[in-house]
Amino acid sequence: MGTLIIKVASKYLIAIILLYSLFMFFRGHNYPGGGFIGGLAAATAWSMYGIVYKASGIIQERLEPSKISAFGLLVILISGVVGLGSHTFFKGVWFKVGPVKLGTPLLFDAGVYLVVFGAVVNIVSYFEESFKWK
Amino acid sequence: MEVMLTLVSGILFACGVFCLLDGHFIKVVFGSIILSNAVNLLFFAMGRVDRDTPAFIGRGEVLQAANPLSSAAVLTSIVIGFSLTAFIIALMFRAHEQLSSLEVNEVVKEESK
Amino acid sequence: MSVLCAIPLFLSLCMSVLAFLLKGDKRFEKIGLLGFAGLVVSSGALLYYSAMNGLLILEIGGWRMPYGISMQVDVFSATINFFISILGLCAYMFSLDEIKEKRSRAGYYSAMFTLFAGANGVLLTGDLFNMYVWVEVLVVSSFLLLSMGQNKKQIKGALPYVLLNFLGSMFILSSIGLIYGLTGALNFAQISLLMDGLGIGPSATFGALFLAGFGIKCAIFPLFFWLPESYHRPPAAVSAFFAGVVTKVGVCALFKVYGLLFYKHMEVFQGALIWIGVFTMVSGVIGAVALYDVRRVLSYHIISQIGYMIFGLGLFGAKAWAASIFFIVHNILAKSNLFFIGAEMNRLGGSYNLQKTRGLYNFYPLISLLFFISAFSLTGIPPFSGFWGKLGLVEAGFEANEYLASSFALLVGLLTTYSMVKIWILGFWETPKSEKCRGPKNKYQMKRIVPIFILSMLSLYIGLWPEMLLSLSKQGSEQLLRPKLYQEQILGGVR
Repeated sequence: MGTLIIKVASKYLIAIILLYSLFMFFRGHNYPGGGFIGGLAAATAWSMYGIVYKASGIIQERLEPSKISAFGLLVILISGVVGLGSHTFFKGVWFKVGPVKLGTPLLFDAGVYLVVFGAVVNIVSYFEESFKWK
Repeated sequence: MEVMLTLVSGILFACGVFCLLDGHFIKVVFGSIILSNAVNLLFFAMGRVDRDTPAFIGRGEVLQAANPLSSAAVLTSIVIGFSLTAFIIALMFRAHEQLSSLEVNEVVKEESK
Repeated sequence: MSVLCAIPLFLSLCMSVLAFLLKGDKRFEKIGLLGFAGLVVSSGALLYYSAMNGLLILEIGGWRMPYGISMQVDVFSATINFFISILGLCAYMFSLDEIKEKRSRAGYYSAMFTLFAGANGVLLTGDLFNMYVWVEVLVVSSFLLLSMGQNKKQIKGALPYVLLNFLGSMFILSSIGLIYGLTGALNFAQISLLMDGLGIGPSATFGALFLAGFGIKCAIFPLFFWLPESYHRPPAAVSAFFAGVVTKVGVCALFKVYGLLFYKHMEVFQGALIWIGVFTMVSGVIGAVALYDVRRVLSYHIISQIGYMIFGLGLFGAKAWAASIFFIVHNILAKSNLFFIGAEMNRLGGSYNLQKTRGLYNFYPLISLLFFISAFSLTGIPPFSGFWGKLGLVEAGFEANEYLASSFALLVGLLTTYSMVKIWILGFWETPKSEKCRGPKNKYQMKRIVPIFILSMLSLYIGLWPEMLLSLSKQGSEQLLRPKLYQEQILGGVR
């Protein structure tokens, strides 16, 4: 499917979009961004790859995006249990690793990222694979 | 400001219901999308929108910040609405394959036994 | 101890993820059984502790109420949650036998666990918007279960269900948005406190919107037309736990919302709710009386029994609500059991159609006995469990001077008896006609008969010794009808 223009442009665009999705994910706690939009951007990049290079079938089969989504939910549940010993479910537990602060909200957001990414890539690649271009 | 948002939400409700009552399933899907947008807009307007209220304020500043709860609720509701819409479209895709027609009257017709 | 509030929910979600990652794998069967057993045990412990303490509160994330989301478990929610978990265990055992490889590989067990997670979430949460989110989780997993299989009749059943439920969700969400706009809070206790200051107009509007939204989900009078279209199409295990979970959770959400938020201006709704209940009862049972396919008859009976619960909701007194809670629990056990027995009738007798399947009593006395217990429990014959529920409701109706409505309730009971007797005589009692019935005896499958046995024995137990459930129902209804106490306990900082 793709014309020459999109095939050339997508090589650069996919890389930039993926990096931008990670950037948006990591700045989500204190600035606009977060897991949702990061996941959507990454899904956009993968969907573009699937559409331009006709790789939707391979994405469905090898990447198994629905299992990525389920794994993301597992990460969310784990992030809820981490604080259970000291406080309650989903307590925000932070600890410092060098100059960087990591904590359960980041883990929760990572889970959300994986869920959104898996869901959207699943939907788009499924429809793309089975749609017959007339 | 909320008055205008609520009016627009009401107009979207009307359009959504009008599309929902149509005889072709694609228009029904559009009706559901418009309806979910209308409800999200209503919820957002209920959080009292204002000009010039920042989203984040510094520690110790005594300012009025924008209401975070309505945005959080609308975010959740958009995601739920989006997943419902995706499901309805997938179902209609399957219905088109199986029943080869997307007119509402064709789909809900009982098979003559 | 309050940590127990979130454990059923967590367990269901973990099991759902495991079921998805191990889709179609035979090794998952035992893990799933352990999961449901854990769900039953934790729900039972939750019921015990909430009955001891009155109210269990858990603040998620440590954020103080009313700023954060909290889980509030009162006796009513814990009771319904416990019985839904037992139904889940039985439905899982039945599904192990009935559901073939294809559905299991499509993620059937994962959707089933997510459905129960949604039910747990709706019942155990204390935040209005969170309740909407769990209702959506419940409803979307029910869409999945209904349309799995993807042949023509599944699509025909799923489309009206999906679209009408979507409309109901929009009504609920607009009502929540308007409540938030007028009160500024989303916590049940906080809203209940702030609603006192508002007049009758807001209460009436929000209550009507909630009735429309949840009414679509629990199939009340003018909004039930999706149910007979769709409940007889999926496999019987799915119909059974739909009948026991999805509609009942809608009714429970209505109880919670009306008891905690709109109690002050209830007289606006009472007449409407009572007569909606009566119309629902009557239209459901007329549909049931006219048909001969067992699954369709049972689907119409669901509507009729929901009518009784709405009737009890409208009567709005401690006695009426206690009777309604008892009735809901009795229905969860008896109604779902009837769907399982219907599936057995199909397997042993050859067809769902009563005109073709006859005389099962001659070869299968155990199933016939279990059917007898559940069916006549549903109609309300003493000493079975339905009798206590209906007695309480009709007595409360007479005390509230609703003579006409209560007489309709009794008349509908008579027609329900006719319908159950029709199934009993045609399906079990007559001389066998179909080849399969006259042939050699099919063996009972352990995975199919044990759930039916468990549910029938539980139903018999609460019929013959109803004191425990009656005292739980009374405690639950008193808690729901005294919001002041609820508010003080929650906002006063009692853990």
